[in-house]
Amino acid sequence: MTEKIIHTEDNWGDDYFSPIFGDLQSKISAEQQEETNYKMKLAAKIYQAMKARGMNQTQFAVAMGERQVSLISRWLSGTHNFTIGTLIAVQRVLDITLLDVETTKSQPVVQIKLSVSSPISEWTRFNLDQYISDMGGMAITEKTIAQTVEG
Amino acid sequence: MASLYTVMFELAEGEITTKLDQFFQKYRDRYPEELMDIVRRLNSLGKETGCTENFFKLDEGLNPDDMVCALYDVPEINLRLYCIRLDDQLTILGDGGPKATRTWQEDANLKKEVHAMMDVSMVLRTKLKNGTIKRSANGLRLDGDLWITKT
Repeated sequence: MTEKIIHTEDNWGDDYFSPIFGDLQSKISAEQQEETNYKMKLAAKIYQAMKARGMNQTQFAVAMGERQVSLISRWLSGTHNFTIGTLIAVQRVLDITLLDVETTKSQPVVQIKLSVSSPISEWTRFNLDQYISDMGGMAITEKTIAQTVEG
Repeated sequence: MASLYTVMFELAEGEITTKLDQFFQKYRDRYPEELMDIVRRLNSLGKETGCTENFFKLDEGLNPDDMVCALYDVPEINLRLYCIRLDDQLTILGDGGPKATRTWQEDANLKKEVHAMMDVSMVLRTKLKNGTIKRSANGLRLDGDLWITKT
């Protein structure tokens, strides 16, 4: 039986740097790594959504109308180039967002509360409606009416 | 985020290398694109997604508890990198090769590398169980006696 050398130094190999790994890393562009990161995170998001719904790969394949579970494995591997159609279907089945194609920000809804206060008590609700109509309907919301209408 | 370890050892005449280095050296010329894809995916595992199960082919070893698996290999090439996946936060990378047979048992090189990882796994699990190796509080580090000695 071959007897191998046994090292006991506590710091043996601590300063090891892999020349080949360093060389391979230097050949990766930021764009290439970004693309791989995106595919991996996409797969991770789909996998997490499956788990959240208690789905295994077989169940997910059935829900997606796919016969081959091996295809689902590939989807989840971080190596697959999805079609947009598949991503839309995955979004629907898992109720998640994978594609965000909104081009405009929706306008914030500003709610203006019509506040009417006045020490004058002679105004009735009819008076107020008439006043608003005379002032041009909804435009009145930008003005402050210092009137109080009782009941 | 995750930590990726590998197995370091000494060749004849004192040269230090690792299982992962050997994998890169053997296959960088024969499978350059696949190897670069593996490096990018390893970067993603470490810095972006963690080592979630979906990125691996699990249960590659002969013992259901040995945690031996393979980084997902693209079907057209089947370049296998065998690993020990402890959990989402820590994986030990080994060596591997192209899989042209139905099972790894039928390929002498793959069989050697899977068994190597099974041996490492057994030592690791024993040391984790008896406390000579411990996980750091954040799960990203193995502390303690990381030596694996063979005679």
